[in-house]
Amino acid sequence: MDHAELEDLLALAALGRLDAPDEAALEAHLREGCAQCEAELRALREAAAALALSLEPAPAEQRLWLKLKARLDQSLPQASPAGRFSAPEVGERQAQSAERPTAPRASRPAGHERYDAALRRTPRVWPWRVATGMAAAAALVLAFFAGGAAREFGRIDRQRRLRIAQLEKQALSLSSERSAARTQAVRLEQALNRRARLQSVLMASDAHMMHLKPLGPAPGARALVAMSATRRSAVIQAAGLPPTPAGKAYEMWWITKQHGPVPAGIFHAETGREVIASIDPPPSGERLLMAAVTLEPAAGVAKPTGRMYLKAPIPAN
Amino acid sequence: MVRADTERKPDAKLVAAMANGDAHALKALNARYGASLSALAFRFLADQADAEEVVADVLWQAWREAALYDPARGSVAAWLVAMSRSRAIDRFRAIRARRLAPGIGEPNPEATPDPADELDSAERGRIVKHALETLDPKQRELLELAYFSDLSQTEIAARLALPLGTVKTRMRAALLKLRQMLSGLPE
Ligand SMILES: [Zn+2]
Repeated sequence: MDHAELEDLLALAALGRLDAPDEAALEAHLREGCAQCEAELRALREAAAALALSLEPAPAEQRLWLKLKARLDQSLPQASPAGRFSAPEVGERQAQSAERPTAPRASRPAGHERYDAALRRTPRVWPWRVATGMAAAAALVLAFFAGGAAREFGRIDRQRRLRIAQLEKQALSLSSERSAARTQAVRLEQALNRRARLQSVLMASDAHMMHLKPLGPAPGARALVAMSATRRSAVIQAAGLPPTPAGKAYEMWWITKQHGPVPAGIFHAETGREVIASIDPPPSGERLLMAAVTLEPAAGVAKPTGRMYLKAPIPAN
Repeated sequence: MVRADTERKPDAKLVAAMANGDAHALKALNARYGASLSALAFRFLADQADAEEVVADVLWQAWREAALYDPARGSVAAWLVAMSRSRAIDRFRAIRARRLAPGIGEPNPEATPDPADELDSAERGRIVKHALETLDPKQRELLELAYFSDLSQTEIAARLALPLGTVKTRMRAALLKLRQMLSGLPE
């Protein structure tokens, strides 16, 4: 198929209407890295989405929210206290690890214990091994990932996805324990997806990594920030931060020459767990002086007011 | 205060907040897109309860997979729409397989706009509708047939009595034109 013929497939692809052989041909072409077709496909997909969203909206918002709320309640480890509604920080502080459901232990079958044990054995925090091997003083480092690392990630991911599938199966078969298993499955999946996001940012061809160093309030804390301009993404991975106090959140900052501290998102820490959180990438086109993490009111603030827990000076280049 | 802040955030920031476990962000995303996505799913399913089930599944998937959303690959709207359409078609096929399916591609019946809907989505819908109205009626018909039906490209060509190649070329021209007309649309 020549390029013109492939171009003619783009609209059908954006509309989800390609026959299988055409779809395969286009996919092969895109895999070869035709930036022109890829950009057009992206643009056409946006137009198709606009077409979809041009329909008269159905008055469904409230009913949808009730459905979602019910699923959230089921996937939260325990009832959310009033006014504190954000999922991961609620109730899990007592748990030793992210993957353990917090349903009353007495009511859980023995099978859960085995899952828990298996989950605790799971190799953890892959990128840290890379991170700690690097000079902490080199604050802005080009990430390098050999094929071996990618394969290792893939293997761990497959194992975890398998466990999620097992848990979901279990959730369906054990009606009395259904919500505990579902809680575990959803939370494990979310944790896994955050890790996958970190991994994908680290693997970007323009990935940068930065170490944040601990300050007075938490001398044992450490964090790695990975960012990629092409992916328009940044992810922080932190360990050793004290669990987020009630009504508070950790807030990430980019400190730029032009605007001073720019908020980059909030996240929460729990005892004995590393945190992986998506944050805003640094503002483009601005000179970065520093990255920092402070403790702030739960909703986040526009300018830092609380104590600083982590920071990294960024050398001029 | 928190809520108000959440409502003003760009879509991509809402999804990032969801990835970090903020349920308010899920609520805000539902306020922005729930109603429009339900209308989309309704086009395929002709049943409001089925449509809402599909959209609840989509938003729940967005909640679980928020960390995987990649802004470099497209907008949040396009991500949600693609998930909704594919789930609606799957459900339509499952229903059709079980019994005689309701018709598809029919005009949307009694859906009335909810005043509580986000102004954003109403405004977006208005702009797109205007763009669609200025599109050549034949181009518009082609796009709608392709998008809101479960027909394959060959079936579309057969229905319009056009060669497949012509369908492809016209489809691309129509969608590119729509894209061009919408290029000023805020994210
Ligand atoms: Zn190409």
